[in-house]
Amino acid sequence: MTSPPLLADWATLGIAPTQDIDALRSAYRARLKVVGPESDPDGFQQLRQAYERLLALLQQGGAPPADEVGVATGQTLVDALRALRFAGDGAGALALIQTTLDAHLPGSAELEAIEDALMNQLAFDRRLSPQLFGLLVDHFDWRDMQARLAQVDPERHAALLDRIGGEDWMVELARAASEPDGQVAALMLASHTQALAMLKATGLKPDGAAEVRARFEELLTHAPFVLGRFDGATLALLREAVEGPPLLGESVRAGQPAPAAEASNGIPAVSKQNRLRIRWGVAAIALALVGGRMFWKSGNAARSGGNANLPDTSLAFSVAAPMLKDPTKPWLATRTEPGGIFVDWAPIMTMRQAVADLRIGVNVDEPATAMALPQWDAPIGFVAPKDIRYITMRLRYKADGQWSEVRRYPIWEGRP
Amino acid sequence: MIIGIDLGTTNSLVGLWRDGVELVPNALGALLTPSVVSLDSNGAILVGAAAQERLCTHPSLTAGAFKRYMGTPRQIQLGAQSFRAEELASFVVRALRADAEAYLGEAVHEAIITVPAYFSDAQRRATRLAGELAGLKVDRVLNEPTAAALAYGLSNAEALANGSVLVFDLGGGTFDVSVLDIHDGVVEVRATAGDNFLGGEDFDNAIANWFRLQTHLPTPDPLDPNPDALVIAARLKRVAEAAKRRLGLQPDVLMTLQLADGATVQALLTTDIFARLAEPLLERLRRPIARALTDSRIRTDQLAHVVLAGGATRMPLIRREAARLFGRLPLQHLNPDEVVGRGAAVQAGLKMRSASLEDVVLTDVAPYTLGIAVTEVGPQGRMPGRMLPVIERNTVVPVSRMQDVSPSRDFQRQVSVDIFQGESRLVKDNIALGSFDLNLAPRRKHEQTIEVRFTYDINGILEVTAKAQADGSSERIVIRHGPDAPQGHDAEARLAMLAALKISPRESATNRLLLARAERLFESLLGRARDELGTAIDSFDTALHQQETTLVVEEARALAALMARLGMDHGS
Repeated sequence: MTSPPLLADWATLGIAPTQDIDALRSAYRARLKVVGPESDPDGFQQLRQAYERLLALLQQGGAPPADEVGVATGQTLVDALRALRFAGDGAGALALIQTTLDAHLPGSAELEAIEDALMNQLAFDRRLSPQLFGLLVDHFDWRDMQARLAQVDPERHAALLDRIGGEDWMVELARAASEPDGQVAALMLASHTQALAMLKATGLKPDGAAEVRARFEELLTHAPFVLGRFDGATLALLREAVEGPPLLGESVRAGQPAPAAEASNGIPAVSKQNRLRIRWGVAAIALALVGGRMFWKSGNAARSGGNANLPDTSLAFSVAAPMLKDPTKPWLATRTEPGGIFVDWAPIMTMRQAVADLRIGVNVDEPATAMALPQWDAPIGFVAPKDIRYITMRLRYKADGQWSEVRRYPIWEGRP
Repeated sequence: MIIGIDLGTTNSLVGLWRDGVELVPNALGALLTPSVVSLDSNGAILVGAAAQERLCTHPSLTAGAFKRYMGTPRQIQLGAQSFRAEELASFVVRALRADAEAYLGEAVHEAIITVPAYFSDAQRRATRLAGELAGLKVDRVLNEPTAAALAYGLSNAEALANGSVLVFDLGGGTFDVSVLDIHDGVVEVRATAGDNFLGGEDFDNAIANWFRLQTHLPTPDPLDPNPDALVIAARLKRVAEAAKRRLGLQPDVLMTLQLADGATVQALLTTDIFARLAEPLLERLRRPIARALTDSRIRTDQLAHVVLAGGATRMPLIRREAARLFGRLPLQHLNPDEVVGRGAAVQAGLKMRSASLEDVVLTDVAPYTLGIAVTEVGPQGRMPGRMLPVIERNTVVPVSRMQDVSPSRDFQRQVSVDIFQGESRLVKDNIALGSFDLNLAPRRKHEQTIEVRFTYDINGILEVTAKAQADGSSERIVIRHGPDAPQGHDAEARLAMLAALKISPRESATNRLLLARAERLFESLLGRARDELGTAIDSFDTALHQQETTLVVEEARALAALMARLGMDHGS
């Protein structure tokens, strides 16, 4: 257990190796009177480092077990909060949390166990109201990079900081929307009907397009926690206002049967509620599309501005061209994740050197929405909501300019 | 002789070590000197009680609570001249130095000055500058809660000989929490946290704002302050502070404010109302406490003592809240106003290697995380503006730590090292301390490693070096100046200007205070009484100018007698 460098540390402290923490501490204190921080700064630093290494060694595995009372209190609190949420009593939930937390001393073992319970069972729940989440963040100081949680479970804490970033962004967006210059933010937060009316009345402001792109890029980074709070149809509408309608003309010229006007209009009769949900799914894809274009654009900028320069891992044209026509090679990959089915564009991106144009569609047999392909690897994909039953794709080969057959990829179709 | 100075938001104090702590009285015989500075009609600087009286009568010539602006570029106006906070603080230090020299009968050239533990790099530098502008060498700045613990640790050997102690230090403008281990003469700070903008003054402001609402008094426009409004605001502040103090002794206080036209407005402040006003402020006490305890890895129930320091802990409300937060009654053996000053005196003794303190060693920590801005590459793409900690907060100082980073792209010719302090993952929410560029020979990014080294000394002064390993090129920066500190010629000119300003001499302190109090009383009087007092003030002022000692004494006695008759005890 005592390795050579640690032997040197024991020598620095002037005692023989021991398991006794108190002996280590008093040896450190005795040495301090000779090599103090003021009298001998360099000697002190060596002493301190040796002491910290040995302290860590002796304290190894000595983490105290979670406080039982606290664990029970935490579980009761989480259950009570779930019940209140079921009843739709948001104010009650806030009050309950406040009183429970106030009843425990800061820095106590119970409070830490309660924090763990809330963190594990509640903090990542997307349905948690921003107020309640904000209360937890403030009370437990979760913004702090070195919060207790960051030491116990760094990955979870990093994810938590991502969520905090998303919530902060929503607050900032709402603030921007209330300002005279905040048309874009206001549009994003509006319902589809409102947004349509707003656009009809005044149109997008002159420099609005750039702002929409910037806001969408921000939205992409915070999407996992906040996307569900936007009206998908509004996002699709905004995307269209900026990028123009999906390019339909070209695919007609390609000699194919006329595709439907727009994905969301091509959906056969479904209930109103279902249609809204489907719009949301379409918006998720629209978002990926805008994202794709933006990545493509920043890729261009990168070369001219000498900014980021990621390696290009796509296949060469000569390899990609035959592979693209091979019906056994899919253009799209799906995999099951805890949050749903993840739709990954990676295959088509790897073969992009051989692609001239790409059309996709959701729950329609004729893909009509144009999708831009990025010039370099970008992590594009999304978790498909249940309403996306299948995705169709069609592309134009760069090799001969011909349009391909339509390929159909089931997503939720046939699954429970 | 080295002196120890507690340079507070509201009051300051000087002490020294001669086989024990000695606190030095000022010319008026008081240990506490109000941290207030005023310009008198002759252009001389008044410091302390006399200046404090002038907050009400000459608000545009007087400044208090300037510690809150230490290390910021803010200019504070005194009449036609403007000063930075550290310049005003230097006048207070000059006065304290004069007191110590009078007390010792010898010249003093060196001082230890205390700062809130949570003071930033810029604020610490500004504090040292205040000492240097007053002609004192300031090798050492000491964290206030650490000073408080030193004072306790050495005052009562039995109560605090061994164990963990939490110091709860709520001063006039700042709140600090430190957790310390005291064992066999070794005082080891385990963790420190705080709030630089929470103190007794905030409670006064809360009362003043409530009073305005109750009495429909307009809030003054900070951009266009008219002289009357300034006077009223200063009076209200005084009334609010007095009410806060009295609430400690009685359940309610009738606050009375005299307006410019002589009319008065009143409101009854009860303990319950005050508790409600204070609630948002009390809420802010919790987080630094939790943070300090978590960082120290000491649980509340393992603490041997909770110690209160800082004048604001006199409020019963605060003592109750502290008892609630810790589940026990805190210690308050020492006068909370003096405890930090006593600790500064102990540290002065340590610095002089006084024989009686031979066995005492103090180790302190860095209060903030220090790091650099980096771009992280993660599953969501490139994320610029992230903080990479190099020295984590509550690391024992002095310390030197290193981090390796790479350029963000191939063949980069230069990297910018941006230095930040703070606890947020995003550098935009932290405080920028400085930056420099390091030139690189173009290479692939994975072939280029840059070593960034942070060295942080016991005074909280940071030095950063960056070295490109492949090239051997390096750059170095010492963070010397706060943002926008005057430099070079400007600094010299400024120094000359400050040195030329006369501080009102110690000998005249009693008379200056009497005059200031008479002027304040004059403002609140009406009719005959006012005329009578005006005449007495004039003749006293004339006597002061003529510098005829017997006449001055005579007039002073007459003025004091008149003031007592008109309803104000000049000694109160």
